[in-house]
Amino acid sequence: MATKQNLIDEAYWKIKDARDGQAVHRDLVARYMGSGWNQILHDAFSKRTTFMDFYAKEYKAVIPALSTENQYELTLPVAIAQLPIKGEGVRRVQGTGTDFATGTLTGVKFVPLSEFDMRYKDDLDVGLANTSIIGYTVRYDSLWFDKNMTAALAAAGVNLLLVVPFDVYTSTELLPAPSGKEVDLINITVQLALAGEKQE
Amino acid sequence: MAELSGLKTIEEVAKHYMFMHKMPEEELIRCLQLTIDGLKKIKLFHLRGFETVVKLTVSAIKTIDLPDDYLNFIAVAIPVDGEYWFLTSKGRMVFSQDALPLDTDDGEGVDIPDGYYSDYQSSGGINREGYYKIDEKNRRIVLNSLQSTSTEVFLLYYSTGINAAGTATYVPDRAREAVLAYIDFGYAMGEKDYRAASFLEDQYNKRVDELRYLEMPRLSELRDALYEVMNPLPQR
Repeated sequence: MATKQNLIDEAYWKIKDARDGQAVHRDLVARYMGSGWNQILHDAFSKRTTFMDFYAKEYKAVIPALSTENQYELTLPVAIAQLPIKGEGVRRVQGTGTDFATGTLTGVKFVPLSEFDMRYKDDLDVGLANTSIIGYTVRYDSLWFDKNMTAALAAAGVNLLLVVPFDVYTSTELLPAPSGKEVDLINITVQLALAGEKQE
Repeated sequence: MAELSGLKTIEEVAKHYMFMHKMPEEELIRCLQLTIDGLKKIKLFHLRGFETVVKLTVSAIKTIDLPDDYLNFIAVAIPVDGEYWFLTSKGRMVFSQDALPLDTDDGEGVDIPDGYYSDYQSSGGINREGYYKIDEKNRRIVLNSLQSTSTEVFLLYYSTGINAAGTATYVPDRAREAVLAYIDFGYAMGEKDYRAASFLEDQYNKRVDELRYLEMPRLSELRDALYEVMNPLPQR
């Protein structure tokens, strides 16, 4: 596993070689690599997105607030990776009071829902028989909870597990590229950098 | 050594299905709804012992209100010597009122005049404990010819069997396989994959057949039912 800066540098030199010594700015290389990063995450895990949990970062005790429409919502602390499946960048939402060992609050469960499901489920048996499952939906940079969200849970905050985009990692941070995909990441970056070049 | 519980909550059954099928978490709500649908159907048609009994007070206009969780009728009964005595349905009973006074001139609330005497020449087909007529449109059951002392009756019915939020709803473990098979079938129908749905419906029916085997009347019940209509006199 290499740091983010190592990977940018490697791509930088490869691009420079391919352009007969003409360099591309490192910031541009980082942008190309960011596009490649999202693509690789999706390609690697499109069949089993649960494996993407390993690549997620945890953000603790984020406090939801009541919107003007009287619905609990929170603004994500960082941007999430924009994957083809909407909202997949939010891997898990969990109440802060959850104690894994004793089972306290484990009865409350947050599950992702589409906007459609969130509007309709309350009128179904499932919405009437169980209010301990709290649905949430992802809208670009925010999470919106269904009406099972309580003031007490919101006050305690929620822990988030997020798959973050490339630019959220610091340059000295190890980039957890999926096994064998580092080379692909470099190659995609080089291809994107050279895509606009005029061919002889 | 302690054994695992024979009761699972509907949430546990839904999670069981999702775990076995490696499903993503966002399917939990849909899976839970299918679990509820399957359990309702199996309780209604195939499981014994889930009848609900309530004791209801007869109103001034001789009606009882259907409970909110009423799904299907079994019987209206009064107690006789420790057993339920079932009232008989009478479709021709006159009734159109919501409140007193009843229009007795047009027969409303008038006791059906049969069973005046009990003798060799009296006809059968009468129920001296009373009659009922289901008025489901108005969510009530109309009663008639009740014994004067009967201010309360028992209503036996199938309820939805699903508790409202806050109280767990349990699935007997013997019915779990059938519920899981129903979820499979429900998903195929939801996907409009009717070929798969047809196969999975067969699988569901097989699980139901297994369940029915467990729910069959016991030998003692059959023997008693047989002996009940026999007597030691010579049979002609």
